[in-house]
Amino acid sequence: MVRSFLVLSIIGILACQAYGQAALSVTPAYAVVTNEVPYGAFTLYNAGTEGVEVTISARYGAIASTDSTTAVVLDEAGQLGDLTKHVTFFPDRCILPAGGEQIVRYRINTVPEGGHIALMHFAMQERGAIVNGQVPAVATGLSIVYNLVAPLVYLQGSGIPILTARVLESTPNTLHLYLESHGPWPFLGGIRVLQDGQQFGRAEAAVYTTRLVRIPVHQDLEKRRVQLQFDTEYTGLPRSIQRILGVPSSIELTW
Amino acid sequence: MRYIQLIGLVLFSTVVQAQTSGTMQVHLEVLPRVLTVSVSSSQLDFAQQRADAGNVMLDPATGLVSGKSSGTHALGEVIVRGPAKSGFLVSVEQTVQLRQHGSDDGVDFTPLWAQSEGCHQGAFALTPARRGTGTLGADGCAALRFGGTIQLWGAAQGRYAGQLAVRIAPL
Repeated sequence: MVRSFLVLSIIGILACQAYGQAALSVTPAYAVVTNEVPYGAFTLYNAGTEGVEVTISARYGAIASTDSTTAVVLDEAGQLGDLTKHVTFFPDRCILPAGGEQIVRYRINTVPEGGHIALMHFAMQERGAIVNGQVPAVATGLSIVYNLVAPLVYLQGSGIPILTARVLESTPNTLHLYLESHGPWPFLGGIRVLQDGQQFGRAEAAVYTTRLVRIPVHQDLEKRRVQLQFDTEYTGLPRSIQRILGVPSSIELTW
Repeated sequence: MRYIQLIGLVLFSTVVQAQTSGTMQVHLEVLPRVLTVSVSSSQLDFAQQRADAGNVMLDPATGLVSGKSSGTHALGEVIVRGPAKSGFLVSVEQTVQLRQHGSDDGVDFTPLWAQSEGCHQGAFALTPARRGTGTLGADGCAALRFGGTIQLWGAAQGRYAGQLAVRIAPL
């Protein structure tokens, strides 16, 4: 009995000494607002076992693609305007204890007509330090700042996105497309692949500037000729915003 | 279950005329994929290297550092969680200049990252592009490790420090 108690005590001590972690999530993963309701909020939640300091900032940029990769691109967003000049948010820094939640509210001020974007950065950083002492040669230390990035899109007025597309690759199961936006209005919605009026597949995408899109198709597109049709149904996008977003013209593609 | 949240629950019920009648309407809205990022390590350390060690690589796939070093090296590491098999973006800077405090001496650092698909397997695969996409495993989890290379060609003795920004977003 005494031995069992001792073993349990040791396990308890080890468990208490286990390394804690912060676990940050940001909801929603993106936001689209309009001049009718030019404000909103992100909710930060720490599901981890340790507190974390989060610094919030807005950077101009977009999620964009080349022929081979998609990435967070800063300081350029095609014809979308720079929302960082017009957005105010609070707080810009907070400490989230384990299990803690923080609401970050934002408001958009007067903006010219068109689509505008900011990439909201939620940065977590441990407060580590390089150990001081005698150095025989070269010692390096980098602190890594991990940023969760959430696009914040603002629409002043309404307009129709102008898209072009090309086929990068077609396999029996997947159509790989490269979409490019040529106007000041972003596209968020569904892309449907049709051949002779029959739908072969659909995928959702947000096209701010350029975007690789992989559309699962349930039949081989042997004719190498398809029509792309667009809709504004995009996961998490409120219907009130879907109504404002324009639907691009359909695109005929051959390859 | 935080990934799919109940946004609005609207309950319409007419005046109950009898115990067996009533109308209920439920509106569900699915939020976009939300990621949770857990930081395991935000310190990246090459340990102590010779000033003329040349090209030194801290390999995020193997966790090993090339060249002769003394002391303990460390990789940056995070865990990303979200819906199973969904994609996410990872962007890191192309190069970072590590600076010696109080001097103009610098060392160039080129980051690299690797990921394991799922959090219950030990194998990490190096990602060829510094900016790219990762995929969560069937367990809705991926571990990412960050390392890189530094160039030591007659660098001045001392401590060099810098900061690397890693950006993670749902795909």
